[in-house]
Amino acid sequence: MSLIGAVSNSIAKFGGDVEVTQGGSTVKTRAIVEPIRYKNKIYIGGEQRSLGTLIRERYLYIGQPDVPLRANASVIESVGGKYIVKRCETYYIQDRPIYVWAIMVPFGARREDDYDAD
Amino acid sequence: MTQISEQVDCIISGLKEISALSGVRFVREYSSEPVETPVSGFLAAVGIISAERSNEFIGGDATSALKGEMYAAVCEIRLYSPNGGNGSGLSELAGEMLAGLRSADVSGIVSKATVSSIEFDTELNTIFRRISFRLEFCLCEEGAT
Repeated sequence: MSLIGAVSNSIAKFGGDVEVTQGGSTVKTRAIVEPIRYKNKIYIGGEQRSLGTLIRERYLYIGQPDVPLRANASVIESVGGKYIVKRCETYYIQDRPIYVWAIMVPFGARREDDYDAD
Repeated sequence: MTQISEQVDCIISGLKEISALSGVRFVREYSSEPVETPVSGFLAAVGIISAERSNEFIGGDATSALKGEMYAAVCEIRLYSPNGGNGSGLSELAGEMLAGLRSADVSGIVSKATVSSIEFDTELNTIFRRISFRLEFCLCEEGAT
């Protein structure tokens, strides 16, 4: 088995089902999603911002190369939660894409207007 | 700060009636709800950043029958641009808000309004401007003699 096939098969074997939404389209694929463990595993809590609560957790995504991602646009939904891609790259061997790597943060749903209900 | 919040709410309601601002969602600052990621449209976070109250006679030399309290506050609206929109339209909307405060201020209590320079939020990867305005109003005691 080629290295390219081995990586893809490993993602299919060890990854979970995910839905990748970008723009108006959704693609079902398999990917490995796991939390990124900061030093000493201190990643509790969040931060209050003017727009709400910012959860500072980060997640790693390793997925199939035939599903490209876009930073700040691709939304990943897995069994563990819903995330937005903050940074992503495709890894290549020679000119062939091997896998897609991404750093994700928890997805924050669209806010409703607080003053409409008043 | 109920008295101040009520006045701010009235002004925000007035701003929402301006057609140019119909695409802006207004939310209360420091909500417990998660931050919208990515920011999917023009989003304005409304907050009161300072407030003061003073007891004083309103009537002064004219009459001592009127007395009440003087309130002053500074309100800030952080207007965020949608992610991926290159900030297009942000300054125009900030200008609309600045001008719109005249019509939204039906009680005539806004004494000063400013718009900040463009700032960048690295976490949300979007730009925003601060529109701040100062409110000054009196609450009189009824039947004071």
